[in-house]
This record gives sequence, structure tokens and C-alpha cells, in this order.
Amino acid sequence: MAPVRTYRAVESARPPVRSWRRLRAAAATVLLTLSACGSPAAQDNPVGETVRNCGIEVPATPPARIVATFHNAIEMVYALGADDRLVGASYLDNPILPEFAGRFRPDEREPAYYPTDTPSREEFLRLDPDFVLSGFTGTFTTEGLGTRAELTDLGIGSYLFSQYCPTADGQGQTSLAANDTTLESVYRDITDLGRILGKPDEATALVARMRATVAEAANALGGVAERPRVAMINRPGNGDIRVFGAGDVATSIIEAAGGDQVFDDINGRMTRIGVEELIKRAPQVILVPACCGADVGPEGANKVIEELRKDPAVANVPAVRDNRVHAITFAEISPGVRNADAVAAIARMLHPERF
Amino acid sequence: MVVLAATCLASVLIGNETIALGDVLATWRRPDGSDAQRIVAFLRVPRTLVGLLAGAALGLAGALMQGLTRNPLAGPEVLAVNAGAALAVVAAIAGLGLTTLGGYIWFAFLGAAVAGALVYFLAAAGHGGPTPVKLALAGAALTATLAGLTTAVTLLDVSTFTVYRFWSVGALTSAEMSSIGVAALFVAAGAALAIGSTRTLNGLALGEDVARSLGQRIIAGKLVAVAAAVLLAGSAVALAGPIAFVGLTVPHMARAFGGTDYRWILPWSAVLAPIVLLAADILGRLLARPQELQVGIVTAVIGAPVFIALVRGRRLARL
Repeated sequence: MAPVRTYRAVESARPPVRSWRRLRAAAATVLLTLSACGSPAAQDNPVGETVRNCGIEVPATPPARIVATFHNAIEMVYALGADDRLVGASYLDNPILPEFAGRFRPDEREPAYYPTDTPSREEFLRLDPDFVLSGFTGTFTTEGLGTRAELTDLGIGSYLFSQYCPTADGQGQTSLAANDTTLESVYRDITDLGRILGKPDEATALVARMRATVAEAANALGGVAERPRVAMINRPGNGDIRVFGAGDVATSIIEAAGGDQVFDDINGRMTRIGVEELIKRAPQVILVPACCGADVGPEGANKVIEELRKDPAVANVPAVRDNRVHAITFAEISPGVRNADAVAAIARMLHPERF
Repeated sequence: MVVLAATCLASVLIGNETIALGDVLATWRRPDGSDAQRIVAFLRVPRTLVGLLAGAALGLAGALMQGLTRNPLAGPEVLAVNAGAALAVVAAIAGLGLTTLGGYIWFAFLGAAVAGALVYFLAAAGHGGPTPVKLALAGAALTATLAGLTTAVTLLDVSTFTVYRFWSVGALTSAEMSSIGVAALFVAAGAALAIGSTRTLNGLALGEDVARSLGQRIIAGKLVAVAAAVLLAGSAVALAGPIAFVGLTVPHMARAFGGTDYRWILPWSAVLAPIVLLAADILGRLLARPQELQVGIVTAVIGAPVFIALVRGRRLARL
């Protein structure tokens, strides 16, 4: 089975941690000190400088062994060019972006890849990380890898995409609408991560590219009079429907792409509603994000789309009637490097006449 | 009966958007394909039918189980029927990659039947045949075993079991029309067997020795009653998932109306349980608008206090 295989691969590739840990830590320190002499990144981040993330001060000292949890976190590490230090990754919602696929080879070398869930805490510590980047809630809890305070005590730095900042360290998010879920917050995270990972120039360039892509889409959409009413939903196998609502970057993307979120009064991701509510909201376009697995492309949403087309109860919903139900990917509507391209792609779905 | 009819009507009319009685009637007399008519025909009527069938099945199965085991706290889950259905569903999702309910309703039924049969034969083996205590013990043991296996499989691969997690709460919205028809046949067969076992249940209520001295064929009678309970509980779990508390509490309500005679307790249970289930479903639609609460959550939240009240009440001791 997949998780067992991954576990074995990691075990055989690594000597027992206890005996090597101190030595490796010492070696890492030496290497870091050496690289600090010549690296402009390290000069930009003098000792003691920190970045504030979810109310926690994160030292802006480039880490040597990074673990990334969730798809958007993994791709962020690659996009900033810090993947040579990525030692662990869990887990992909869709295939990794083609420009990173050549370097993401978990069957041959680091990072160790956990395809279905966050690794256990023991497994995680075996990787001997000094930094964890999380793209979604759950990682920094006692059930996950530990609270951020606990990780700090172990000398492990952490960063959580700020849209998912919890109400307190180790807690869940009880007031979803309170966080900034705009594209600006994504750009801010990228900039912060650039400083922490010692890749500020890469971060600046990435944000500039994303802004340009969004601006180009906005330009094409200039002066659209009619903004289609958009629902982003999934249907996990039984009658009811899960909604991607407000308080989520998905809504910011829909709006930047020239649409109106029909579920703007429902907060958060995957909120359960009845089919009747979808009929009542009468969306003109329905987007179905495909998930989850390194081999699940947009076609993973086809089954849900086919069910919607065949379901007599929703035959009058404008999006179904006019055949405007589209597959997208879960990865592109999670805060991260794909968001700008998602705006461009969804803008084409909402306003094909403009492109 | 009148209350039941009223509840069914309310279940068709009340929801996200209240639908006028005229529109409901027009759905069949003058179909025009409007949203209101589609909601009635494809959403509200099916879920009301599921509520009726699953409710009646749960009520009857609960009453049968309490009579068979002479245990006032017995429910359909005592025969390990729910645990068997859950394991079969999980195995179907893991092994065959099924993700729609249409596919796994049959696995739920199969798992329920196998688990029920296994419990009966475990209890029947050895000295004295299937006594109430042995039935309850075998059921509890098998439930623990099956639940452990289910947990093991779901923990191996958390992300693919989203479907299972939703199913395991219990909802009236999952079943498709075609499966409702088939399940109706099973419920009818189970109900017929249940009616056929009233004499056994009444005899058992007097104690096994008394029943035997009155000339009853205890073993055969129990077999019929267990078969009925498995058919009914299996249908309910296949239609709506493992819904808690209805099968446990409704027979006690039925005793309040029908006394101690199972010729009355069974029909009362069959009528009261759908009322409770549909009322809980209607509440679930209204309480959290625009979201919906699954009926299993509502019955658990409302059922728990009722259950505690029952345990504290004196009427229970008379079983």
C-alpha cells in the first residue's frame, strides 16, 4: 500500500536519526555559515530579523531542511527555487506544475513524498526538518505535526499561508471571514516567504509576473457590463453539495475573473448545502474543482459534471441548462502560485467573447 | 396515521423554499418543468419516501430487537447490522473504488445481512440456543470487531473516505429513486415477518420457560424475528445510513401508546418512527439555513436527551 511503501523508502534511505542527528545539525551549521559568507540572500537578512505570520515572529534565517504540507505549499517552495532544500512533501491535490515535474522525483531522491496525508509526527521528525510550510489548516495542531510553539521549541521554524491563520496557535479557525483572503494576501505571503527562504528576488519576480497576468485579464475584461453569477461546488458522492464560499481566495479569484460569487453569504470551503439551495441561487456558471491526488487533473471533475447534467432536479439551473459547467483544479483555487493563471483561465470561461 | 400523513405533507412543502400545495398537486396534473415542480418531484418526494421507509424499518427493527433480547436499551445496532453495513461500504469504496451511493447501497445491505446472520448463529451455537443475553453479547462482540476493521481501513487512506464519512452520519437525501423501490420491497417483507413474530415476542416477554410451556416453538420464532430485524435494519441503513436513536427510542414511545402487547407495539413503532425521522429532517432543513443539517445529526442531538429521560424513567423496568 502506498503509505507503507513511502515509509519504507524513507527508512532505507536514512540511517537511524539519533546517532546522526547531532552530526548532521553540526554539518548543516557549518554549511550555512559557509554559504552565508557568499550569499547575497543571507546579507539581506541580518541575524535577528523576523517576519510576522499569524501573530508569530518567524526568523528570516534561510532554513536548510524544508517540509511542505499541502499542494500549494509544495509548489511555492519550487516556485521560489528553494526545492534543493525540500526534504519532505505531503500531499498533492493535482499533478504538480509541469515546470517543476522534472525536479519532483520522490521515487529517486528527496523530498520524501506522502501522497494521502500529513506524515505522523515521528516520521516527520525523522526527516530532521528545520522549517515547515503549510498551505492549509490542520498541520500546526496537536493532531498534526504539533503547534507552532512546540515546533519552535524543537528549533523548527514554521509558516502558514495567512488566509488560514487560526484564532490561536494550535486552534482551528472559528471566524473564517476575519482573515484577508484577497490576492494581495497571497502576494504578501510570497514576499514574506521569499525573505524567510532567502529568495527575495525570486519572490519579487514571481509577484510581478502574477500581477501582470491578473492585470492582463483585467484589461481584457475592461468594462464588462454583465458579470455572470458563479457557483464553485463539489459533490462528494451523495445527494448534497459542498460549496466554496466567501472568506476564501476562491471568491477573490471568481471576482477578479469578472464573475459574482452566488454563495457570498456562506463562509469557508466545502460547506454543505442541499440541492434545493443550488436551484434557488440559479448560478449562470458552475465551476467544479478536481481533487485529490498527483494523478488527478481537471478531468477528475468530469464525473461530478456528468452527474449534474443528468440530474433532473437541476436541469433548469442556468449553468446546467446552458452547458456552462466547467472543470478546474483544486490546486489553482488554493492560495499560491497558480492563482493568477486561475484568474486568467476562469475569465476565459466566464467571458469567452473577450478573449 | 393522520399525524403521519401531515408530517409527510409538511416534508414535501417545507424546505429551503416553501412550496404551495397547488404547485405540489400541479406537479402531476400539469407538469411544466418549473423549478418548484422539479424540487417536488426529484428532491422532496424521494426524501420523504426514504424517511417513511427508513423510519418504519428503524421503528420495527428497534421494537423487534428489544423484544428479542428483552433489553430496553437494545436498538437495531445490537445485531451488529450497522457495523456490518459500514464495513461493507468501506470495503466497496476501498476495493472497488465506488463513489456513488447507487453502487454501495447493495454492499450496505449485504454487510448488514451477513453480520446479522453471523450474530444469530454465534448466539445459537452452544448450550441453550440463542438466548437474549447471548444475542446481545455476540452482537456487541461482532460490532466491536467490525468497527475496528472499518476504522483500520479508513485510517489507511483518509482522503478517499470523505464519501463514507458523510454516509456514516445518516441522511435522507442520498438514495436514488430506483433503489427506493427495491428497498420498499425489502421493508415490506421485513414488516410481514415482524407481524408474524408478534406471538414469539409476546411469549418471550413472559420469559422463555413460560413461552415454551405455552407450546411455542421458541427457536423457529426467534429465527423469524431475527430475519425480520436484519431485513428492516439493513434496508434502513442502506437507504439512509446508520441513523442513531430512532430505533432505540421510538419503541418506548410506542409502549406509551400501545401498552405491552407487541401486536400494538409494532404498528405504533412503524407509524411513530417515520414521524420522528421526517420531523427531524424538516428541522434539519430549517435550523441552519442556507446550510442543511443531516438528519442523523438532528436525531442524535434530539435523541440523546430523550434517551437519558427514558433511562431515568421507571417504565423501562417493565420489559
